[in-house]
Amino acid sequence: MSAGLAADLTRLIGAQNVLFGAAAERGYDCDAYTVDRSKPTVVTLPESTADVQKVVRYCRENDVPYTPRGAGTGLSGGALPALGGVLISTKHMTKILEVDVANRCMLAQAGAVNKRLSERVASDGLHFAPDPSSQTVSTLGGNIAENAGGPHTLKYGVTVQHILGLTMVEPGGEIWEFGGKLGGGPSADYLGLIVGGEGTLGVVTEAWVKLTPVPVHVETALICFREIRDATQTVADIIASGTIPAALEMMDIGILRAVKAAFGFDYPPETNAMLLVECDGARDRVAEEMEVVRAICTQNRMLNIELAADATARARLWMVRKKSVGAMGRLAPSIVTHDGVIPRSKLPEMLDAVYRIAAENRIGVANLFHAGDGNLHPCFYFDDRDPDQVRRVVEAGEEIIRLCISLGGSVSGEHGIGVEKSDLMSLMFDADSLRLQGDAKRIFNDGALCNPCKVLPNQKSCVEHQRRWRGVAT
Amino acid sequence: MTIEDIRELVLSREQVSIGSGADVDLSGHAGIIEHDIDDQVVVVRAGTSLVDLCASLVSSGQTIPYHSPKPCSSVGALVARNWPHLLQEQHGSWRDWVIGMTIVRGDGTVAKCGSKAVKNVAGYDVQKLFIGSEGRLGVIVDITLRTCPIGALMDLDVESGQRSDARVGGVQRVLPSDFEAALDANSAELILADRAYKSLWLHSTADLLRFDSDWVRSVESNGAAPPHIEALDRRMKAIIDPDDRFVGSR
Repeated sequence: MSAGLAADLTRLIGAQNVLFGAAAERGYDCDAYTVDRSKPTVVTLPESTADVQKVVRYCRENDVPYTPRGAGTGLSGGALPALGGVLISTKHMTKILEVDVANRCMLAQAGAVNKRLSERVASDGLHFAPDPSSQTVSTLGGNIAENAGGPHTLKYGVTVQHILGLTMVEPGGEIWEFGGKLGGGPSADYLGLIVGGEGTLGVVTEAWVKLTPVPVHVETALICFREIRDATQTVADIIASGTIPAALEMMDIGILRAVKAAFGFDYPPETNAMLLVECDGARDRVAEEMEVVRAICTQNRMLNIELAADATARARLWMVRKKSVGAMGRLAPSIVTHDGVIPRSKLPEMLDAVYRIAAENRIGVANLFHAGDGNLHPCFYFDDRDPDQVRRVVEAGEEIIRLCISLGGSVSGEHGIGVEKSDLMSLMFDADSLRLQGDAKRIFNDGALCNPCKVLPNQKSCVEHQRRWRGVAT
Repeated sequence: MTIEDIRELVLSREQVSIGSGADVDLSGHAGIIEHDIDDQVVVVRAGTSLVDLCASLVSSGQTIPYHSPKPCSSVGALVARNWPHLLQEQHGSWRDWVIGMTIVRGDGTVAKCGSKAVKNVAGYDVQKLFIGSEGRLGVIVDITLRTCPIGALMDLDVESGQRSDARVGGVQRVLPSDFEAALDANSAELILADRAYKSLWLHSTADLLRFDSDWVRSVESNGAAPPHIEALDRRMKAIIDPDDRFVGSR
């Protein structure tokens, strides 16, 4: 099957843009969520919206499932080719097509890397604000699909607030445009549904992004605490004070040990939790905000505070946060990063529960949080060659998610549902609420070909596949 | 007025209009359900007037940063209308603040979307379709909103135009590079100009000079949308409200 399919697709978009065979199957059988795997039959690497349209139309005419993929850094299996078929990678669609500095916007192809967008306009004092930790590799299209967040979304908003317009090849094979340089407009907010649609509503090929001025003044502080509860209380107090830092991140001792081992980053020996707080804006306002932060930290018994004196020092402080998941590779062969959200004031009790659940399931856990948003990332480290450990990791993850929901939160803050959490959606939404979501999907995608088996539970032909990935099908 | 009452009202009619004096009048469905001060999140019944909501929030040092020259009405009506406002550039708008909703659909089912978490990507953001839906998809009964600390409120950046006392007929938004030209060209109808959001509030939008990439939102009609948007509007209506019960807001 793969040879015939590959030959057809080669005729459409050229041999340099089509991959198949064992290496392609292995290289594209999952994204950064590695628990579930499924091989694509053929991998396509279109160069343009027109190429994508050819592939989508071919798949539609021949009843072949297809799945879009950016850099494959997604953490919920959104780019997993769940039913095989054609994988549509945007890695040959990396062009920045237009930069309009005067109007603070930029048009780029979906495969353009997040960080490159900001680099391109850095000399104009502008940047693309969403900054997922994957930003040096993750793509604009992937950020759009997942409505990616990042540390600075606390102040600047998530991806949807920075996408002004987009071009999409819809499942019917037509090329549709939404919004444009100005965003908004009188029509229904379809763009707001597509961003965060996890690539299930069509294949986004280009987007107009909003460019935001780089703040004139930035101050960054790392604050150490002996007691974890003091750190979480500090977060709750900062939010309650009405101060909105640009970023408010938290790391526990598990993360700090990994970062120390990997990069030699040191901290007071009695530290159990660390906060990274960044304030930006006008100089006097930043100074006021930092004073508020410092007073709250003092009141909550901080051990010490380290302020970045310049950009190099700031980069060093941020390294602790941004490289922390990578550093955890030293702790165990596998890591699963969870992504629950809770109302922010519930942070102290939630973190207590995470440690308890990890201990009960005998799994190592380290925690990092976008604390200001109430978005927690407990990272379980384990050995995925041991099925019993995998089972315990999955069970512990589900217990954490159930708790997030019972506290009024959500099953995902920024990583998406994908295949990982589709079964958990029914914990958060009742049948009538899920039906409304299914209806919203059907406005765009009424078939089973475009990125199947994602987001919504119990879709036809998907359940058995999921059982097989997870090794429970007989 | 409970959600059950609203369900019964919807089910008792073939055609349902929503608004003051309409089939479904939510003025009896008002008040704050829950205000989590520390989380800066409020859950409110759709019939609550925005003025009342902000008055209730003020003692906690919070507000909803919506500022409009148009007369205030209920939160539900404002969300369903989704008009631009005068702090939009500084603080965003309903699509940024509404983090959850409860909807009564035409078949009487009650659906929830979103959550009380300020950051959430679980499932499809269906509430975005109801923001600006003008009562044509279902009844928005409860709304969960982010609040804004009053201390973080930014200033308006508006100036009055030649028709400053006239009734608002529409809003034109243009690219920053066209803003001064638009002010010159359309000054005869100008009520006020929002320099931050690059928008012109106008008495009439009938004979406007248009600019590249601009958009115009009019009280009367927004004019023709591109064919794929019109097709999507029809498809959305047929799927979300298959019995074509909801005729719109009044």
